[in-house]
Amino acid sequence: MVSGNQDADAQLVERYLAGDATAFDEMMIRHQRRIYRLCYRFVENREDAMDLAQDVFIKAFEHLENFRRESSFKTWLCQIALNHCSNHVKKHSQDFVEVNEYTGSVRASAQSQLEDHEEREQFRRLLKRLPPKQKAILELRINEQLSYEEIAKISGRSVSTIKASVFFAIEKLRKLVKDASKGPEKA
Amino acid sequence: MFGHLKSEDFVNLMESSEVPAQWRRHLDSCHRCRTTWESLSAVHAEITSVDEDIPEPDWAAFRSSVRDQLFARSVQREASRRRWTRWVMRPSAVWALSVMLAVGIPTGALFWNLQKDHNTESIGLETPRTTSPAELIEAGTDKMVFDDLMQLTESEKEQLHLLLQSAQKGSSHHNEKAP
Amino acid sequence: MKRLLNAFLFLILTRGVDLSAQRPQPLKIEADILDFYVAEFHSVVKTNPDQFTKVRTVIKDYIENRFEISARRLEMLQQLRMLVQRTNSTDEEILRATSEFDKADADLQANQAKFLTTVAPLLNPRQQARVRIFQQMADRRLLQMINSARNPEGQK
Repeated sequence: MVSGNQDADAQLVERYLAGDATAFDEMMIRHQRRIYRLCYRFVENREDAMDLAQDVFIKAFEHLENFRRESSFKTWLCQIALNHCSNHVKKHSQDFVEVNEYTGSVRASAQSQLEDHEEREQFRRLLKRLPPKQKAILELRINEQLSYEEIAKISGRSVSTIKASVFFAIEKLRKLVKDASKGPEKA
Repeated sequence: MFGHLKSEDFVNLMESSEVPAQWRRHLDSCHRCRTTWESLSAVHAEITSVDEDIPEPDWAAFRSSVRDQLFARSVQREASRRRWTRWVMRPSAVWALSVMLAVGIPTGALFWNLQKDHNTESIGLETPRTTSPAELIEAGTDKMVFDDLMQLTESEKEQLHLLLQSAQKGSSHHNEKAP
Repeated sequence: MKRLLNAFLFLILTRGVDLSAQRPQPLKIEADILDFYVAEFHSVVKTNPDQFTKVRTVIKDYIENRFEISARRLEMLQQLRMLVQRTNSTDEEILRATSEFDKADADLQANQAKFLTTVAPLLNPRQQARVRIFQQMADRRLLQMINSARNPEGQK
């Protein structure tokens, strides 16, 4: 059974292919944030994420007539994004420097609010150190609330593999947090 | 026999509101799994509650840029097929109208829409950046090759003929040398 | 930009409009393409002379079918575009055209499967694996040559 969202996407695709210019904006608005955030997880900066996301939409619109409707438009779009970003990372692997910032040296402060803020900042920095694909999967699951079945379809892997990826991502993060808490010499 | 919990089990545990009785019994009795579960669920809770920190772009400008690039690329493609006259099954006037409808109206409408767009955010018409040749979407490669072949002009076919002849000479030379 | 659009539309409407209602000419380049694929097959799969003779016929059928199916598919795609853009198209017309297009896609897949199953008995397992590699490589090489043929600046 096709959900309401999928119906809306399917109608927008038909309208766009029929030459309805307003469908372009509607399709973009529905998916731009999701695709941008997914791309961001691979490059961790706004400019590159914007470039990648634009590439994804251009590819999608130029090949829209090849969209087979075996999956939802959202899934298809995310597939394009995942493939495009993975290829980008592979091509520019030497340009990527692992984010290794560590500023665990929070100055002693009596304000717990400041400490909480600093801890959250540190956690965010540690999150960035995960491999891009793990970050992308976490993004799709936790922020986009996609089901494991959808994520499996997007990435071309099985549900078990995706769940294992989530497990290892959280496990790695746990170790990073543990090492960070031991001090700068462990970061 | 119920062994230790697997990675998939931990993920299911983290995301479900209820713990199956069998797993609960195991967690109560297995120190290793219980420690893993407690530390993982703490991190999982942290991930799900971390503030959004991704800087967002100007969405209207973002859409404009995509729109401009699509238009620029479609004009580029049409310019390279300017003398394409062989792909015909219809009377000439209807064909010209079809091409105009298929290409001109959507791109023209996008262009007019751009000018009329008065969203709250300002629309910045960015200069279309130079794009490298688009990567193929893997699933469509086979179809696109022969689709492209069918749409070549006479002169392009001539060029392709020469390239193929040249490729043939190269490969026959190679095959002669192959063991 | 307005001038560009107008110029573009002007070009489409007035230039080289001798698009009379004629059936598409058979592709003279078909023989070239067949030779190319046969040579690529021999080179990548590494067939002996006996295998080469038998496989050539199979490749010929495969390529001829690809041309035919591609022509049909493109025609259906064009038909679909026109039907979708016309306001007076009936659902029946659109469904029929959609079905024809899907059938062409299915035929493409079937042609591919038929090719693989027909050559399989003629080849050993290692060669069968190389057939998959051959398909990817041949298509990509041909696509590169098509792009070169379209781009005059690439001709030196």
